Amino acid sequence: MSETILSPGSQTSIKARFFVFARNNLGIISVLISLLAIVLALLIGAILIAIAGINPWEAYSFLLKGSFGNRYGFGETLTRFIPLLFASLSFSIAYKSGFFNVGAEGQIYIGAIGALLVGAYISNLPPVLHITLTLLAGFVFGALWAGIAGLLKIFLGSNELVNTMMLNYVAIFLVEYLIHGPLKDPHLFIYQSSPILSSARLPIILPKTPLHAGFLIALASIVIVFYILYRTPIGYQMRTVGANLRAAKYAGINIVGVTLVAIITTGGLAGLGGAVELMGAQFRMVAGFSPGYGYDGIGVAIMGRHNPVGIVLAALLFAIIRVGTGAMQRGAGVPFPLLSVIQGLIIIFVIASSYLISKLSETTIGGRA
Amino acid sequence: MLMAEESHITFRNITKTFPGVLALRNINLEIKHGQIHALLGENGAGKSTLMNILYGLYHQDSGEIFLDGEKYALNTPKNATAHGIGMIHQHFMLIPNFTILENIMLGQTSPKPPKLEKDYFRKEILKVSAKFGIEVDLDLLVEEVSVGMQQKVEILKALYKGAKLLILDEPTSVLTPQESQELFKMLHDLNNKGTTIIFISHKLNEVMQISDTISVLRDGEVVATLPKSQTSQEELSRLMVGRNVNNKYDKASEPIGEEIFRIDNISLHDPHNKGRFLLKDISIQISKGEIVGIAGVDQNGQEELAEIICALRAATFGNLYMCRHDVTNSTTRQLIELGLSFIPSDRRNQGLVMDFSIAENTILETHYQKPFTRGFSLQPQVISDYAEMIVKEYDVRTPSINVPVKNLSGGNQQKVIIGRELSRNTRFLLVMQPTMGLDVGAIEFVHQRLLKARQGGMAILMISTDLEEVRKLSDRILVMYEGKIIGQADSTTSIEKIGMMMAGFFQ
Ligand SMILES: Nc1ncnc2c1ncn2[C@@H]1O[C@H](COP(=O)(O)OP(=O)(O)OP(=O)(O)O)[C@@H](O)[C@H]1O
Ligand SMILES: [Mg+2]
Repeated sequence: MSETILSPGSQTSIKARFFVFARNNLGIISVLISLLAIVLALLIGAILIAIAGINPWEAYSFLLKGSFGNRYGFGETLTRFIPLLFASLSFSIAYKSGFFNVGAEGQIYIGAIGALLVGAYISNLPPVLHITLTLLAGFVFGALWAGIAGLLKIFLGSNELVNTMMLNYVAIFLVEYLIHGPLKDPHLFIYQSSPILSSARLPIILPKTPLHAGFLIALASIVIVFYILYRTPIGYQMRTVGANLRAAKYAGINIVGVTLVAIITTGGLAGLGGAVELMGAQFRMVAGFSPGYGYDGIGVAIMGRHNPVGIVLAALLFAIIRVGTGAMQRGAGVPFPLLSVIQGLIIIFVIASSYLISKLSETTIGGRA
Repeated sequence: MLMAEESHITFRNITKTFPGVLALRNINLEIKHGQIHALLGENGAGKSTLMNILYGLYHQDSGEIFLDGEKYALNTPKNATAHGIGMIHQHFMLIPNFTILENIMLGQTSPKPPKLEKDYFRKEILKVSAKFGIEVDLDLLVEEVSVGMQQKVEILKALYKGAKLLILDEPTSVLTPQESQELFKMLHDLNNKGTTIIFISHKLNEVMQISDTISVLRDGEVVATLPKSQTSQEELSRLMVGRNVNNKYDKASEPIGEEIFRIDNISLHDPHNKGRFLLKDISIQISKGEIVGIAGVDQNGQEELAEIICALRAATFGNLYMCRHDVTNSTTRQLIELGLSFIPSDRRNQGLVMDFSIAENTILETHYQKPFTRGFSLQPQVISDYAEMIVKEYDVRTPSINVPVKNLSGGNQQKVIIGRELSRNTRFLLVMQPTMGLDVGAIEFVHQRLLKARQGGMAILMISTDLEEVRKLSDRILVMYEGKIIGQADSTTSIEKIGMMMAGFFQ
């Protein structure tokens, strides 16, 4: 790309040479830094595991084997990937539109409730129709839940970050109430909802694994989301509003309308994630239906830098960590708190490394504020 | 005390590339102690880049900098401050909702942490401001004060941090002529007290007025360094642009056509003080093929008037008509579809999305229309072709249309906006400060473009604080003062007389 101009005669400081080198090899250096971050996190993890009296090598081999070393683990990892992808798409599309939705967790719960109502209580529908309606219900419920924070922002100017966050707790407790009361399965002693009907369930696409058709819906969603953002007028408007609200106004863009679309899609995508998880994996609403997919999704979106390839890779990494550490626990007996520490280490290191990379490209290429 | 003839800063063989751009090529330049050294050059010549390297925001690919004859290897902003180098950027870096005091304190270590010790800083800052004779009210919020005052704050901040060398990147492009004169007086005082000043400007008369030495950059190279006494404005503009610049235009007078836009008795209450008016009884009619200029000192209601015309703000009283239709309650988009184009005064915040590419910025208002959108989809190829056309037509210097506009030089950013706004089917053009930050060649070009648009039947309302520009281009001149139109003039009216009116002296 850009040629380096280093006149042979001039003495150049080491630092300057380093800068030029870094700039010309930014691509490779970025990949190396990211890998190094993961290795470093795993190394620290290994030390901690060793301190706990477990052979770290053995523990890590369970991590790899468990997450994609065998057919079942592979399917499980990809199943984990599905809700993570929806949650990160939800965060990214809102972020690009200048709306900070940290409420995917709550929207997943409420979307799943919407899917449950249609999937468990409407019967005698052909599967294709039933599945479609159930997915739609998930989308709509998620969108409505995000809409609460959205309307508060549009009409009262109140901060969506705080509101979406607080609505997470409301949603989780609301679901808890529902499965203890109105939606409790009358045939069971434990507190769970009734299962959704088989006509509303998503089929398994990789036999002898839990991997269900939600995977294909997730892949389609990522294509659609980024097509909308980068190839349609409404997506252009969303990005404009997110990047420079003032210029968007001056250009005649309808800010309220665009923000509404952003809210509907962000909530809808998270809700869809909840619906798909219910229809493909869990079938019943239970307490702790989502083990923090909504929050992981934020990490995935940031690590993936809000671009499609990055998000897919980051969601895979998160899924591997989550599934693989589960196998470490079962196989090598690594205690649960330690697993959380290792998961946290990897996530923090990778995100920190991505900031390091952007800082490096800023100083070497020079970026304007 | 160092002798005036000694070198303060020496650049030796500085080269800097950006992806696809050779911004600086083997720059050799000496800045002497106690001088006011002007840097001149076309848009994109590399002036800001060179200064950003000195200040440490960028790092050169190769070459060296010497400070007081000693090698200055580690150029970072922190080290620059420590070595007495201060920089006032093309765009200010103040925090609007902090007070001036807080802005100056920012980043300084308190003498007694963790306490802030505002009173200590107040005393210290006042000492510096007394020493250099720079008066500011430390307790005002930055957002409340004029641009000229913000600039004073930036300068005071640099001096407070101990600057012995001040870099000012196009300091006057945001100032009114009066404010510029004040700035020059201040710079002279500073200079007399021993501060070295590097001054970037496109205005040759200013450069001739204030500097001791002038260097001209072209395409990333120093083409000349001359003492002021040995050069002239004509020579400088020839060195910069590589040709003679014409600044007398013949304005073929066209019979004025029908009314295109009418501002009818617009008034606007001050939202913070209901008794006061920001605009009072403004009535202007702009006809086909006519340029109406509004002259006035900044902050006399021009910004508010422009916002009302573009439906970004509602007037308290009064109506707007476009082609004789009442558009008082129309939205901005409706006005744009009726044929409004708007070149705003603040390109970074109002006119461009800095993170978007040039191509994306060229369709800001029209992206949803044919041919840019067909069916549900944007048409990347059509958009690229369109952007290529604008880049070519308006001489935007860039390696590609996919470069984010934030990477363009200031003047080239302005050209993107002008190209975009003049390439539509415009009936009524509202332009503010159209040539802010442009080099002399580009100014001539834009002026010719505006005249051509006028010739083609566009109705143009031009709001500018640059009196020369208003006089050169307008068929009629209205003078605005404290929210009112207080007088009419035309291109034959003397500058002095218009200047008097701008200062609020009637007739
Ligand atoms: N961060 C950047 N990334 C890529 N290119 C850049 C960057 N900064 C500057 N350039 C390029 O370097 C060249 C010199 O730019 P610079 O801003 O120094 O010009 P300038 O002389 O200050 O122009 P102006 O008078 O318009 O402000 C231009 O071609 C510009 O596009
Ligand atoms: Mg510049």
